[in-house]
Amino acid sequence: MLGAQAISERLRRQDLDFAITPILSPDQIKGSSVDLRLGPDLIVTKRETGALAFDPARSEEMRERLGDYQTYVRRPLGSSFYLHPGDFAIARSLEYVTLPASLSGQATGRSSWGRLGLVIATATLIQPKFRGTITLELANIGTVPLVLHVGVRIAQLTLDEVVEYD
Amino acid sequence: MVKDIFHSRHRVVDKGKDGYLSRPALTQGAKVSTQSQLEIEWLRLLVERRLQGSAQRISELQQRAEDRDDQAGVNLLLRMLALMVSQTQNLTERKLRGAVKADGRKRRRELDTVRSALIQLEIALNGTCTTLVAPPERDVTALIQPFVRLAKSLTGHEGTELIFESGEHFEYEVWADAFEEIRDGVETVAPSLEFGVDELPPFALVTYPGRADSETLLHAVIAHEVVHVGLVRKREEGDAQVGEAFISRFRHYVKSEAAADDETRASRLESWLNECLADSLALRIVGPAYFFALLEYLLPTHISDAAGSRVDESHPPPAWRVDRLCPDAESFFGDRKGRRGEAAETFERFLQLVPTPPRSPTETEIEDQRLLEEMIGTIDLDRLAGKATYPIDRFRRDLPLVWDKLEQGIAPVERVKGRRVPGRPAEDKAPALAGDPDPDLPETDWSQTLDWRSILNGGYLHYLHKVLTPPGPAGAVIASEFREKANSLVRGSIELSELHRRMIELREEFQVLGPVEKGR
Repeated sequence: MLGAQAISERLRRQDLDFAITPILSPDQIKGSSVDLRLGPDLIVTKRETGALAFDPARSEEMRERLGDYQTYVRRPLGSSFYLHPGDFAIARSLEYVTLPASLSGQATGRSSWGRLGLVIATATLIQPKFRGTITLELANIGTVPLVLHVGVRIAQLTLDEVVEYD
Repeated sequence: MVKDIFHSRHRVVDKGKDGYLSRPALTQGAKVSTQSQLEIEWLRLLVERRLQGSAQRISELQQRAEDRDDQAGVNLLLRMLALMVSQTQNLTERKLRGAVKADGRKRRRELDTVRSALIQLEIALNGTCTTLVAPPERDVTALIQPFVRLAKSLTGHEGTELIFESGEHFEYEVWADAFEEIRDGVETVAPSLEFGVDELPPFALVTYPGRADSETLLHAVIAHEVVHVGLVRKREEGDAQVGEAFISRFRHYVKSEAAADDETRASRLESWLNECLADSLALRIVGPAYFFALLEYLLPTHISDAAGSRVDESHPPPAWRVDRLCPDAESFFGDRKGRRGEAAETFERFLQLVPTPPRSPTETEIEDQRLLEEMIGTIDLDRLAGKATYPIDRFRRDLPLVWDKLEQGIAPVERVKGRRVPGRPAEDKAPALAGDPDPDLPETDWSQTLDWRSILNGGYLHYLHKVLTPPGPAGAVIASEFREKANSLVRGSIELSELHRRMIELREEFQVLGPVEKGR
């Protein structure tokens, strides 16, 4: 796993195809991770009153119904979004990440948020050569609503060296 | 938030239990017959219903605008409309009370005033609210704040706002004074507010083709519309070079040069002068991306080889518009070292796409062009562009950086300080690295925000380079996918650079937003 200094050094090298951008201050790279901020785009799940279930065996139908079940929301920088207990939302990191073939990453939640009931889970492994923003699955398993401001440090990215790569 | 002034001031018509107008309401202080009173009270009810509906509509639109990137402009417009509704409310109440006490012709006059006020309000609401029901779509939002900043710089007025509308026509248009109908309305409903309304900041509505929402590169054309907002403001201020006096001299000059006192020609050339100025200034404030986008916009539908094509009274011949911008666009490209050399070659390849004028111009056309260029030559374009100017030095310095990042699939968002380029040719090093900080751009200890225009220009040139350099993309589908990716990467990068800029401005607030330093 890379430490803060190793991450900073690699981010300053132009020949590595490695970027996490934009970074607001060097303070965002600490210990052995880079803080990720909440981006302005969210997909929130609607609460359905009718019976609704997703059956992976019927993937076509599931895809069609996803649109009915989810809503795209865009919140400007500095504005907030309420994640109520039991709610689930798909967000993305504000930072755009480019990983070289020699690095893989893992996006995990910050324990400070975890203690409040926010779980950032599931697809955490970021493969080498990844390009794009990191998808964050947010779930509030606590008992009080959480106010998430766009731009807040919400997750952290750790980086590992890939021993053998193309 | 628009204050709900309507409920507090709203006068509820006194109704009987069954909902009919009650007798006491009709007879209070009355001088006129019961039948006429009934008419007046009936009108009062209808007017109040209509005003209530208008207030409710404004409130709904305000709620809908909460997440819009042009929210500041929308709120300004809605506040003015709300004020107009409340003034109409005051006026109609006063006039209806007057009508109850008056008789004959005076009563008719009072009632006519009520109707005129309502008509003016309807015109203002129709003209402005309809622009708010087609908000900008997702992909154009990244460009809203950058263009609003340019508009503020061009007008020299910090309060300047733009709102964006997604249109069904494949046209870019601007309504440079979106308060126009409100101004006209205020004259009728509240003359006392006229002074205040005249002091309102410049406020414009920009319409772009909704079908081209994701065509971020093409949207460089919006710069032309934004320049119009600045020119209107300068004209209102009586600017020595674009104000009324100048235009009047220009018309006089055109007429004196013509064989006959040709009013139509003078009007046409006045419009053309305005458009040529907008083109030249758009290039200055956005860079060569405007030139590329203008040709891409005009080529499919506006530039025709057909001889004797109709003269457009509002815009100069498209091929000429593009042609006359070539030297200014070329001036952005300096030395041909490193990436800048590749960019200059790409520009030359692009020039081959610029069509030659489709037919031999007539003597009048040659003369028109001469007159226009002569007039434009007397105008100090640098002064008019002012702080909105995109410095050529910045273009040259940022180009290799943006190009390199795009080549690596990295979103060009910020200039990371102290970035090392092992093994790079020396000529590209200085401009590509941190270099001297740009005093006009926000920075942190880690990096400096990239100018969105550098991203747009670098992205456009990088895309054109890939497409125009042999062998280029194989097949139309791949070319189309490539275009989509270029648009998407440029759009995302501009959006992130804007977030970076805003986060730096709100740095203190964001320290509060990320307070947990221990126990991650």
